[in-house]
Amino acid sequence: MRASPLLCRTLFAVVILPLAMAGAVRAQDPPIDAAALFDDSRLQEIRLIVNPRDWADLKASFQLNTYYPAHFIWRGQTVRNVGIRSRGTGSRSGVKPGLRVDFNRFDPSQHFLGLKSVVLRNNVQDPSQLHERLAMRLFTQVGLPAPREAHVRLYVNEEYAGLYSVVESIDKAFLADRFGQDNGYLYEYDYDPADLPYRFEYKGPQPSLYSPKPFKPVTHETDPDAQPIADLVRAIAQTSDADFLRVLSGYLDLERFVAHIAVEAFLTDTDGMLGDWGMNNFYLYRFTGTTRAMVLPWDKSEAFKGGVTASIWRNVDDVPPPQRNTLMVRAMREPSLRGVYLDTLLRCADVASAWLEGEVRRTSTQIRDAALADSNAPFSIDEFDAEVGRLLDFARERSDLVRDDVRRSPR
Amino acid sequence: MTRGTAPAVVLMLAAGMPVAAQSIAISDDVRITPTARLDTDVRRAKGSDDVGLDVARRRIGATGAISSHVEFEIEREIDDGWRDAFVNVRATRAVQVRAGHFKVPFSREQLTGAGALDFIDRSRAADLLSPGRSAGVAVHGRVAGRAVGYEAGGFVSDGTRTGLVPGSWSEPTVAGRVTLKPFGLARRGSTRRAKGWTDVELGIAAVTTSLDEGRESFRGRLASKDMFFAPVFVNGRRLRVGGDLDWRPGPFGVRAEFLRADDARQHQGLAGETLPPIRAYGWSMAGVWAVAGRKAHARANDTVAIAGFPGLELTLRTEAVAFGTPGDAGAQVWTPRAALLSTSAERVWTAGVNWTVNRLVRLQANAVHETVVNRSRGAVPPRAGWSPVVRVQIAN
Repeated sequence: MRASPLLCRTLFAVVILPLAMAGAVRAQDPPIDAAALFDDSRLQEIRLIVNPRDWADLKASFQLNTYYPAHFIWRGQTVRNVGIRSRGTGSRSGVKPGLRVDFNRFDPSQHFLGLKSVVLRNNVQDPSQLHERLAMRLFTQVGLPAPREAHVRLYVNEEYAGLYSVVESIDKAFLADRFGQDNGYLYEYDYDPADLPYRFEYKGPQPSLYSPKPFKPVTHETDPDAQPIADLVRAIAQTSDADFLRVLSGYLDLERFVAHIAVEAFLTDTDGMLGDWGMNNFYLYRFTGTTRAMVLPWDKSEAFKGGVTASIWRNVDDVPPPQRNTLMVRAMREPSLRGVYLDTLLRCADVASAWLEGEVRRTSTQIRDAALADSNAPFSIDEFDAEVGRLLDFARERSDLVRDDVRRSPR
Repeated sequence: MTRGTAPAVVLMLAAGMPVAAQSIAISDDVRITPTARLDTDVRRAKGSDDVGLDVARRRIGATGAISSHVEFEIEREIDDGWRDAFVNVRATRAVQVRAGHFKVPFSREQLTGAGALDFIDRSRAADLLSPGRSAGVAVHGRVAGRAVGYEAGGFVSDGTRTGLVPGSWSEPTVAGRVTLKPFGLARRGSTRRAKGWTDVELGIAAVTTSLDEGRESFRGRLASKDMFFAPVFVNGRRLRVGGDLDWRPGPFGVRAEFLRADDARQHQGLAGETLPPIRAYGWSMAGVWAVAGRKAHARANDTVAIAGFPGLELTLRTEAVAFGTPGDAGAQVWTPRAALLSTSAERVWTAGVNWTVNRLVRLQANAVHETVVNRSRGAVPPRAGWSPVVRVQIAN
């Protein structure tokens, strides 16, 4: 027998709200650090209270970015009146929506554990739901800043909505935590599947050719100052080989750029900086008071999909010139940057040899029951197990294959 | 000039000149009068500081009668659908029945036709809180020697919400309005004339609507259409009540109005709980002075030549409108499902000049000062200071 809507509403009003309000009181207890929210040694649990009609609307209109008010509950702490919306590009889903949670959507002064927002990633493009988390951990282990994340059981109005990942947003809070500054210029690379692939080709000198598309300002939205981006792209196209390192280093941390691509190459990411459809899934941060920027990784659900035997030069020099990333092509002509690229690949191989197989076993065991119970995921538990098996094979074989590839590559 | 303006001008001129040709008699009982109206404003555009040309109304229509007891009226906004399309059956002066698509009776200001307004824009309360046009049936008339007027009817909706299926009873609405000339009543049977006071007319009105669930509460908009109170989720009954006064002694005219509306929010909380209603209220007081006197102004309104000085009127209005939850002390942060919402309010002063050039052309110039208090999240920052608006009305 189904419970009547009136009964459900009454239960929410009588049971859930007082619990939420009690949580709000407990939120005044000594604060827990944000690291606890992203602590991946345990399976986290997050609850959202959303008006049932709003939740139905969000799922029905999952292609829109409409915000809905909600209460966010974690470890008995309640953040009231947060804003949630559907998010993603290829991962958008009306069954298991990916969510963005903005703690300060309706109250600009509201933060939670020092965070302005988090992403609840639905992982619907990855049967193991592990790609993103493993990839970001590898970035961090080789010394590149990357979002923290952990798996989470998500409940919406006390109903299990599925296994998600809670992912740290790349925003001012992230910048302050990693770099001790948050007043620089942050851009999200905003890939639209309808656009032609872009690989740093020079479009012209006007900043408006580069921002707000494809470089969407995340900070300084009303004054995005994209001139340094236009200058960077012009320098890629017009600077002589002799001046390349000196000039380009004024606009971009080139060593981190090639190291970033090296990690993606190790992970055989098909939708990253050298993605099959042009550049995608990164942020660009320009430091306060300078023209120098660095890239930051985002959304690694397509990592591990290029195949364990993928060449480390995939999409670098094995595709026709128009499909090559113009900056990467020029960077690889520089011996020092080429060395950074190959050394980072070797570093990835060393880290992965010691860590990746055990990490796949640990994390897959941690989330398997939650994945099994996730009726909204588009994959069966058999597909989950098969993908975990493939990841274990990858962990066992990839490092040696990459080392061989590096060894064969001229420096 | 935007698309459709030229045909409107042509139709207006065709209908308006010569004067004798306005009304077409088909037979002794059947007559038809084409109508046309073109109102063009010079004002600041929405969300911008740029001043530009805006065609506020481009209407064509007709009024007429098909017998001594049956009248009709149709009017269409070019490019924007039908406005009025109704038949009025007059059994007696006291009992008349109107059926079709027409204004839901509520506010005096809202029921005043575009050509008879003392200001370019209706009062904020009338504009934001009144129902619109809807399909329905109403009984109306005047009794007690025309001292008492009434109108009551049922409508398929309150006419403010777009996207409803035309003609569907999705948001049924019942409306009633009563007007009273107290000194007109007193005068009946008396041979003494209460000079000046017989024109005093009071009105009260109420409208109740059954609202569909949705983010469709009243919303606060400035005259520029920028929003200062964003809509919230509602469900249940919408109840409007109002009262008004109209008095035109000699060359002066005074009009005052108070309107209030409550939107229920059944099961609109985050956990499905019922929230306190959203309350919107507003008032206005306006004065108008026909510089050369009321009779001279009436003659100016009927001339085909240039009326000159007698066509001048000076106007002044003060008003306010506010949105929030009753007893909003301790109001939470604004969300479309917040239990308590702090009051967002607008205060407006308008000073103006009207010049009736002749029976076809009228010029209006208003200076509007809007002040917004505590705008809700998502609303635009208010612009301080006076903003000028000029309107050219051409109508027959």
